[in-house]
Amino acid sequence: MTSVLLSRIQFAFTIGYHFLYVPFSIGLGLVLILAERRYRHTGADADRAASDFWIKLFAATFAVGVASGITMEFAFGTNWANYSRFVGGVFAVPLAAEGIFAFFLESSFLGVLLLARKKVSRRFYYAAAWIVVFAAMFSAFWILAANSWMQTPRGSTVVGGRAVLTNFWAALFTPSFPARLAHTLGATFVAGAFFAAGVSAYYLLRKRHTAFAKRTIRWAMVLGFLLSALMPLLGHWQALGIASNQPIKLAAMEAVYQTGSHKSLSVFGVVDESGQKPIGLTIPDGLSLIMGLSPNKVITGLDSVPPADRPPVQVVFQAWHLMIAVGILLVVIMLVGLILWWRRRLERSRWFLRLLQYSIPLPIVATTLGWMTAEIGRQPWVVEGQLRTTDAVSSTVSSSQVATTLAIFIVLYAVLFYFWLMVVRRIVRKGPDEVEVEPKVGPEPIVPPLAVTAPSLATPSMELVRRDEWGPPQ
Amino acid sequence: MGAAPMTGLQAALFVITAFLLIAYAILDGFDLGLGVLYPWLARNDHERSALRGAIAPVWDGNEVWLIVLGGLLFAAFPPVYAGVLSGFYLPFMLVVFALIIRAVSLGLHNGESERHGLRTAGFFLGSLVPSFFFGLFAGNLIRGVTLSPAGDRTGGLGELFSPFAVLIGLASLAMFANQGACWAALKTHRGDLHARARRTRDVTGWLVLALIAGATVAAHWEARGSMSRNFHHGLGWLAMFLLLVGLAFQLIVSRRPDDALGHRDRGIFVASSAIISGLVGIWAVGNYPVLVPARNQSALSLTASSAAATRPALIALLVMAVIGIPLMLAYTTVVYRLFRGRSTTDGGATDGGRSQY
Repeated sequence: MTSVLLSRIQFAFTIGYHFLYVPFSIGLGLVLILAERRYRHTGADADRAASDFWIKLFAATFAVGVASGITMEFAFGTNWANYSRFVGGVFAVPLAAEGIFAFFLESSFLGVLLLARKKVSRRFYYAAAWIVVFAAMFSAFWILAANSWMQTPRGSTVVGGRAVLTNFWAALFTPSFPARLAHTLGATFVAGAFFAAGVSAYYLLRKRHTAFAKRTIRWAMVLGFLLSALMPLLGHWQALGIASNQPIKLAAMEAVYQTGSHKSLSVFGVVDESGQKPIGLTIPDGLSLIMGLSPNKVITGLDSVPPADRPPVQVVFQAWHLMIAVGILLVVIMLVGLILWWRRRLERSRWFLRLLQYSIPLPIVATTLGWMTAEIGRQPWVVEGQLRTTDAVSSTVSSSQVATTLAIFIVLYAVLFYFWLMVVRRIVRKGPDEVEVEPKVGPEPIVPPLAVTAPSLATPSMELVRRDEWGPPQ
Repeated sequence: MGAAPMTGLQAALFVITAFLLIAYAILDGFDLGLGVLYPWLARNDHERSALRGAIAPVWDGNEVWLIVLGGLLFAAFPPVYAGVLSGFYLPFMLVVFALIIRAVSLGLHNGESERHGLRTAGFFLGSLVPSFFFGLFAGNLIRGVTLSPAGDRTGGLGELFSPFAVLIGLASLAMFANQGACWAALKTHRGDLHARARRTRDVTGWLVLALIAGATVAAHWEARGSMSRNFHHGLGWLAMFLLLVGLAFQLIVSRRPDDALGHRDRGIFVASSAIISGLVGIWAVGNYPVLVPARNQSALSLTASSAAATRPALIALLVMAVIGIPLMLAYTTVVYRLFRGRSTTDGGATDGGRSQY
């Protein structure tokens, strides 16, 4: 294999691996903020234990995220030296900003979050939690800005074979950036909600930590449903941008070979590459309708560029449609959960709790498929229209060197994944610290997750919400 | 050198790069060095926990200085970032693997002592490899590398592992180990561990002295006389002053009998940090304005002028650095003040005394 192909595989593998942890850590950040916020209002030991539990899971995930992030910071220089020389003065500016403004903040205050609960005031601690979570999202902001510049380069010109920054703000806020940021952050929150819901389902199935689990699962499902239902809209916003800025990527996503109107939208299927059309379930005129609200909307096809400038259609098509399928599944799962809860059958529906438990990885499957669509759909360009991936690789690094490091990455990352899984499993099995004996039988008080008037909730008066099965307040 | 004259902006970015390198070497230096000494310093679970506790809240933040350095170099001097990282591909990847293993050994554990052998090995090797290789890279960048007109390093393994570069690698290892021993002495309570850290500190201090003396002599032949430029610049004198005073302070003060209680641990840690600042400073002043000297043809050297990104990018980076570096120092101060004093174990904050890190 050539060193370009091996370097591509290595980059795809290491960045894909890194992004297994990023959504969980940002999503768990949101979860821990909600938990810490609750503790700040109630001051109850049980709430502190809950918050500590999420902090532990966050920290374990963050640790692997950081470890695999080190690779990414240097991967451009090691494997993509010609890319680095071409784009450094533009692409790396937000990367440097990420380190200076976001990552540093996150790492510093994570130490506080992990080790200083007893050393600082509750207010300072709460602020530190917000800082860590804000910084994680701020990191995503800069990294996605850099990625968006590769997709839709602006604020720069090419002079003497180098991209040169002409306008900082234009290079930062490129056309594809706002939608990509919203879509990606939304996906990380969905991942956090599914994690929280899945862990709660695990406890409900085993009748452990039930008070904690009931409290958590309800808001996790509400949040998970609302956010995953929002994702198609954010995705559509992004797709409209792709249609105008990267029409060839859209053509590959829907396998549109000939430019024209009345283009159909595929639900699922395969691309018949020789026949140049998708085969499967399609909605006639669907693509034209959804992109232009009219069947006469003209969609740019792959035939508008020479074959050498087209991405691999089948992979992009499949990744894109599978992402949508998984995304819809996420909405359905959370909707079913809310209906069961509303009808007070959630705890009895063990099949559903089991489903929820095994759904934890699903949002990550969707984000990975989404990134495959975005990045493979951009090929053969590494910087859209300006630099080809084949011209971006390091000239001095041989294919055998890349093969060696790729093999080590695969082994090392597999071991790392195993350790992470074991640590997470241990934290989850142990659960939040039990601060008081939970009643073995009988109902739990139902506590609104975000109630600001929470101090009164700890009083026995809430116990009047007694009923045989747990469900929504009447 | 490059045809265009050097601008103030390019010089400023060179200085910022050197500053970040010094900050990184001082801060990550102590936790890397502590990792190098960890298997010998800590003899039981309690001592291991105390040593990890001495760095637990800060090592991750310390490593971010490296990330920032990488990002800044990439943006301000893209050909340097590209040429150095691709030119040192396999050894640099080894450093990356080491840092990953180290991060996992420190950050991902189940809070109990099981598998401590594996984790000790991970922490040790993950610290040893970067401590040596960072010095090896520095040695190559002082000595100069073979560069192609495109800015790719074309020299082989023999050039990479030249005796001079290996010597600088060992000096870097000793320097970090010394910094780690000084930190361990500063952060542990009086007792066996503290005494061991202090004894180690004495040994590493003399090792640093011996290796620096050797490197100074060797640099006379190997570094194309560039290091003598330190005699012609105020900052060069400052760097040499820091190095010599730091060395003298550590070696003399730590032998004084009245330090049996460890009241001077802080002073000695500052002295060790001064040694590091001095050494990196001498390198920066000696090489200025060259970032990557070409051995084969000095016109191919990557300088702060020939390798710089364009003015708008440098302005953006300067603004970010002027706002951001004080912020970074402020967070560092907050966190270090919060965790000041000698540590007992590596956890206990959020988990009622059980290990967290």
